[in-house]
Amino acid sequence: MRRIALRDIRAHLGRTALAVLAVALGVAFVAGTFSFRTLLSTTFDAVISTSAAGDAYVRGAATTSGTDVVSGSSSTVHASVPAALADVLADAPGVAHARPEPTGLLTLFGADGTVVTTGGAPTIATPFPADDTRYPYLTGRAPSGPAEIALEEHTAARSGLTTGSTTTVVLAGEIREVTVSGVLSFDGPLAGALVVGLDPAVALETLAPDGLVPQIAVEAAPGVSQDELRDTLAAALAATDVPGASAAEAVTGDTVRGETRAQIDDQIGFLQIFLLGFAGVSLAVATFLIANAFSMQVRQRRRELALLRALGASPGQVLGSVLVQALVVGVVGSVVGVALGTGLAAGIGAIFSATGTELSGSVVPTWPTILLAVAVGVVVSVVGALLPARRAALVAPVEAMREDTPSERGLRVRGAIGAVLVALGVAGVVVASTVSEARWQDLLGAADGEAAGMGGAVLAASAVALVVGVLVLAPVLARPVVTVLAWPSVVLARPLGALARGNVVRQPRRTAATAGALTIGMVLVSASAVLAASASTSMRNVVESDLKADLMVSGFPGVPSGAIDAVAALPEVGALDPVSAGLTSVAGVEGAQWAFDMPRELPRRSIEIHVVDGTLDALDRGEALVLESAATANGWEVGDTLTLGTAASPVAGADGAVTVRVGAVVESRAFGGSFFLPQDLFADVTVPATRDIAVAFLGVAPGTSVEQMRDAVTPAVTAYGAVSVQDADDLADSLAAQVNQMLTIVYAMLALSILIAVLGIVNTLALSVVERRREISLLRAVGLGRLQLASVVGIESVLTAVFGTALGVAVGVGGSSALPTVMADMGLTDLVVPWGQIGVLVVLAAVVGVVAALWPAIRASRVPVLEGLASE
Amino acid sequence: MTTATAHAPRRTGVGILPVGRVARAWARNLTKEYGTGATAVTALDDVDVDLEEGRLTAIMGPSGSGKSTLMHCLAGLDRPTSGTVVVGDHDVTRMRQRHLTQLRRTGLGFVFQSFNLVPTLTAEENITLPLDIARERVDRAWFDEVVEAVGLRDRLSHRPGELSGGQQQRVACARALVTRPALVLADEPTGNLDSRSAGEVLGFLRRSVDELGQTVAMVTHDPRAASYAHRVLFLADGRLADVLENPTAETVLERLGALTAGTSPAAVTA
Repeated sequence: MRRIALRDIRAHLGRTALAVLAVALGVAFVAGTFSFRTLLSTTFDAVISTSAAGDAYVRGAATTSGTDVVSGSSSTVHASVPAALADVLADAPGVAHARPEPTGLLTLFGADGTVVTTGGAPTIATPFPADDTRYPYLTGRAPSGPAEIALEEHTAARSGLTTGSTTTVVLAGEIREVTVSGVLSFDGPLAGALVVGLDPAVALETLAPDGLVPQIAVEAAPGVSQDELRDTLAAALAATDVPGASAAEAVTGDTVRGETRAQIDDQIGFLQIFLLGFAGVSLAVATFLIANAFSMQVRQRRRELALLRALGASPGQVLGSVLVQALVVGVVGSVVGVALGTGLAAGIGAIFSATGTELSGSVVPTWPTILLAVAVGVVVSVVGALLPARRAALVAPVEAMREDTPSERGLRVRGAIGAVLVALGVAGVVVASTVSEARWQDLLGAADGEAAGMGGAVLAASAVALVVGVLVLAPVLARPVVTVLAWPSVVLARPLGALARGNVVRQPRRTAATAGALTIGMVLVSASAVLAASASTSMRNVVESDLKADLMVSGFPGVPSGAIDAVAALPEVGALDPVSAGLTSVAGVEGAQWAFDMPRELPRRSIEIHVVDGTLDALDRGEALVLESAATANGWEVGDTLTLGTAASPVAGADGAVTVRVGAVVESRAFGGSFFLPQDLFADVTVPATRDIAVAFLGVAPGTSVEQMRDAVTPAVTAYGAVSVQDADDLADSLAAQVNQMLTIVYAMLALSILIAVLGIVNTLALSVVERRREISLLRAVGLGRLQLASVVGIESVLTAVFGTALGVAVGVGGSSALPTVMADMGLTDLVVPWGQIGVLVVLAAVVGVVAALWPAIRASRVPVLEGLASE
Repeated sequence: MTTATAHAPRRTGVGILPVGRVARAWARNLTKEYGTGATAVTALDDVDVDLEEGRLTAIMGPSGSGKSTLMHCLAGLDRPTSGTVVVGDHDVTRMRQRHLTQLRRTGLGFVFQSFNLVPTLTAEENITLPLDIARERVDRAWFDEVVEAVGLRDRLSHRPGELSGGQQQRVACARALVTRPALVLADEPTGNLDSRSAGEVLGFLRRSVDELGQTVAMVTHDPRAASYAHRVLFLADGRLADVLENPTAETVLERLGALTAGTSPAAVTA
């Protein structure tokens, strides 16, 4: 039996190759994801050992960590330590050097006068001590004094600056003219980060104006281990009476590197979950294809299998022979997939490198990755082949004597199950789209905040029910839906359209299974398209209704204070409201919280702040204005008292914590964070390193036009580098562009599932051509030309593809219609269905159909006219 | 496209009609070999036949005698190794594929042993299929006449799966006739039918000749089927062995017996 199974694979290489390719593509995604992870990890391992090279570190003892509810980012806030502690530590036994490490971001202008940037990686300013001999200077020497900087090797190359060049940097919000004193080489990669070295005294003065630094790096004297060093440092901290020493802790370099490593892994892990989601979709689609491929093979081999049964093969043996084939397909596909995936990861790495983020790690997949990928591929293949194999095993020996393929079984049970699922799904979507969060709270009798996400959960469950239901129901839907879709071709291309329609609806199960792969992909694509269009429009509406200022100035990282001063000095500017943002912590709440400082005039002239409860005057009384989303998530109400951590002691509730009363609950879609604080309080409680001017709102002076102001402001801020000036339209456009960029990534990912779907259509068509050889001969005998025959196959293919797409779009658009209700508190207010884009999807599906039909159509037109019709 | 006269060049032979009778289709020196060299098989060996206009001609012979090959060469479905085939005004042996396809649409009608109908189309759609493919208008009067003749008026909206074997073959016959082809070729049209259904189909084929004036050639190995013909051509080992006019089942059986016994009668029965 095994020999027969293997011979059969050889005999049907074409179809086997399709199944192998499907598995390979799915597995490639899984393997690629893990390979890419390996690439990132090995790269960052090297980066970490370069950038955190100290033997031990002294830093604020306490941390607040967790995931920020609103921004979604994971933040760890360490207490700062006084830089002055370094002098004490340097005297401890076994210490070679103790250096405060004030670190910040700066803007560097290159030799060509433009801002030096890399793919989103920041330019880091850090002290380069003259007595640090670990890293050699390639040219020049360490920076000395405020007018000198040193550059890391890659940074120098990228900026075009060399030792002796003069250039401009924006440091601590001010423009400085500086000379490059030297170029230094780290002996490891930095993943594209740009590093600028400063005189340690200058770095302290500019990056740590309050004398507090995130950490003090300590180098051990020769022969002193990291653990010994940590213990002596701890002893030194306990013995001194320098302020802040008691709140500081000593840790080994390995601990710091391990923590950094864990944080990075967290972020990579998030990316990986995202990628694996798409891999899952691809594999689901691949499973469909494999199931299809095998069920067709089984159907084609019916008579052969029946003959085997007549010769005494047991059902188990037949089952086994099909599963052996699946195993071969799975293993071969997985191996190809691992190779493809590794190539994929290397390709992505190359793209990153080309855009400036050097990923120097290895993409060679680890053994666990290979084993996992192969296991996934084999399991998917065997699972896909299981049902067809069972059907093969149950072929009765008398089948061998029967003519033609048996008709498909009734669809009543399947239709009923599908209908129930679809009904449940629709009901769920309706519920999710009509029941607001507040209503859920009432219905469930839940406490504040506990009903949050209820709508989303209902929608998610309904979406799953809807997708599964439609896939189950699809064979029943095939006849009516395809009949409608085929109408133009039936009328325009007589009799080809009618022939094609007949073929598509003849075997509704097969049509549904083939179209199913596209359906899954299209559900995701159309739902994403609706989400993106709705989000863009919602944001545009918010910008248009809420933004009162004429222009806004924003930058990365933040707007330099010098730029604000420059703008303030312009006569064209009548109103200026800079808003700072910074992280703080709140007692009893996991995670760091974004706080904003609100200029008094902001709500009146710059941006609409909607009051939900309380009044805006509360800010004048020294109270906080809490943003509604944070209030809901944490159960904060007007009158509550929040305990905030401070910069020196960022753990809320510890010594020196500050309390503030909630004066109002407000809503503003422009600010994603937790609360607005009075200015003095903001300065006290936010961590300096996280504090930036996020945005400044500008209003024109009397008698000046917006254009005049813009013409004046733009050159004033351009001197500070990456600072942009936008009006409401620009802002809405740039927000929409961000959304569309996300969408592009989603489309790129889903292209893979569509590719697999194409393979599925090719497979189905090729098989149905084989099955219909006699019918094709007949048609040719009565005068159907080759091109006409090819057109019939083409129309069939397009009908199948458009059918799958239509189902997917219906589910995707239908399901996402509930998004505005579910995501109301995330700022999604408007439901916009981008019919244009969806029309493009349908056209794309038709094109996919044509492409998929090419090979089967050629095969069909090669069927000899005589085939199967002759009597001899 | 090469045109030829409807009259075959004069020559004598068992398959050639005597002077005064008109051939609708004819073949001369028809030879068909499969394979080359040592493995070559000669399916047809220098065959001359005429198919008389307005008559039903049966082609008989034992398995492997070349009767199906002859029919496929006549239909342009297979290219002869040498020789000429003319159907109506067309030299089939010199036609290009495209023109052959066009000829099959309206110049020739086919009835096969089985699998004659497209399962997804109704009986009526199947009947008009060649016209639909050729994008020609259906002559309703002729259509009605044909449908009436095959007795399928109340079955037109049925799909093949809902028709009996005999009914399916009658639909196939109607399809073969609906274009008023120069020649209808039937390849074992009753091979899969019970005797009553076979009688219906054969009766119809004969009526299409007698009443509708069509020209029909039919390959069969059933003497009873052959007895419906005006003229029977007997093939053996790729050669035309004998011809029988106005056959009955008994005379056909007799000739067949003689053929299989290997003794080919020298005389042509008139």
